[in-house]
Amino acid sequence: FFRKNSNAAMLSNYEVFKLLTDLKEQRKDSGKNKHSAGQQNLNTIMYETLKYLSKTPCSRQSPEIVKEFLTTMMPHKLTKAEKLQLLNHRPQTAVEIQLMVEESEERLSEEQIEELIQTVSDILPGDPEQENAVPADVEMDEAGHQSESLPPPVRNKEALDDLTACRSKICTWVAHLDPYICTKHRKAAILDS
Amino acid sequence: MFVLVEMVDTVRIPPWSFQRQLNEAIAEELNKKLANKVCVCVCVCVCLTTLLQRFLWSSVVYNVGLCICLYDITKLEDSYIFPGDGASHTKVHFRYVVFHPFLDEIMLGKIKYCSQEGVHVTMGFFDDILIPPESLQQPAKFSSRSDEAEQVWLWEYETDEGAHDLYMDQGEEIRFRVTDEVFVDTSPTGPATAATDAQAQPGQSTAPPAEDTGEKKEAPYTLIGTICEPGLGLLSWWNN
Repeated sequence: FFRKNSNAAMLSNYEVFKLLTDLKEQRKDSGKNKHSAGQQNLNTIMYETLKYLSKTPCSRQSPEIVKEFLTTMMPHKLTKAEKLQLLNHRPQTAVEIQLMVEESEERLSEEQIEELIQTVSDILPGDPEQENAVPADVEMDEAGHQSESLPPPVRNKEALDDLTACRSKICTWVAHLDPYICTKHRKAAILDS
Repeated sequence: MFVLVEMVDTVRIPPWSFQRQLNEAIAEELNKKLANKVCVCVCVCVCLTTLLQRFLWSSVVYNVGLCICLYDITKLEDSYIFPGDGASHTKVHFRYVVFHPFLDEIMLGKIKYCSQEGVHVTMGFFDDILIPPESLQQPAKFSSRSDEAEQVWLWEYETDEGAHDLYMDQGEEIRFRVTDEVFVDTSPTGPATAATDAQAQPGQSTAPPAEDTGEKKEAPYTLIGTICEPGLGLLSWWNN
């Protein structure tokens, strides 16, 4: 076959997520011949892509949210690719913004970066699981059950040391409750308890 | 991460599908042909040279990416039935959703396994992502932990108190930047040329013997990434 235009348009993760979810509903309703040999490839790629996308911020977006986001982003003068990455990843730290925006030190001041993080946080919905975990940490501190302090924010050297120390001898129930500890330890904790 | 690709193709609808809506039958055929496959297609263009007064044919290979699913059909031309074949042939203009990350794009994946070649990352629907050793956070070391019989790359993070080893374990979420893409034509070659091809390829480090027919399957589309920047690497290294 023949390729007319290999880059007709860039799609946001949300658009692909919506397309695949609608296609899945359509195929579910039609019922017949989904499992024929020829359709297996489509089934596989749809399942895997939906599995991946449902864990990203795009699964909580809608056309109105995307439109609002792009309108608010207009004054910042970012390129299409940069706005797309912000939309797909929903960065919450300055480090992530610097990765996605080229030459961000020259183009954006610190206040502008903070403003961007705030806009992204406000307009794009976040993961409700992650946001609810914060009060749990506070409760654990007050209860005083832990024998050592929780891993602090990992952006400076001391914090990184604490993280590595924790890797080797982490409190099992801390790992069980704190979603930021790596899943391997969390799984081990669940198996032990 | 995903792009829309406009394509043109002739779709064959067998006679037993004639009772179906043409749109549906064509959509199903296109998905059967393209979904979950890597498109590496050849476009032939014609240009006339005024000096020589004859047509020059040039063929360019355009590398498209991993096809996900059909987006829409933009134009359906007339359907023809050719002598000797009862099926109808229709030229279709359509748009397909293709996974083709742009250069320097930031992506999220999971570590599949580590080897001498580097860290292999997977995204579930796309597996062939490699981060070579020189693109890891430096200094990096490849160690085989005998107790777990695992081979893993680690980042020797230096602090005032000494070096800490940050392991890149299987299943960990990793953020990386795309630096390169490699398209390899994996269409079958004839039996006579298979042996000579294997020896002629400069990229292979160990030339397989002529009688070895079980060659390692090469991925048609591989992404090369890097994590050698602040913010890249395992999410647990940078999260609050």
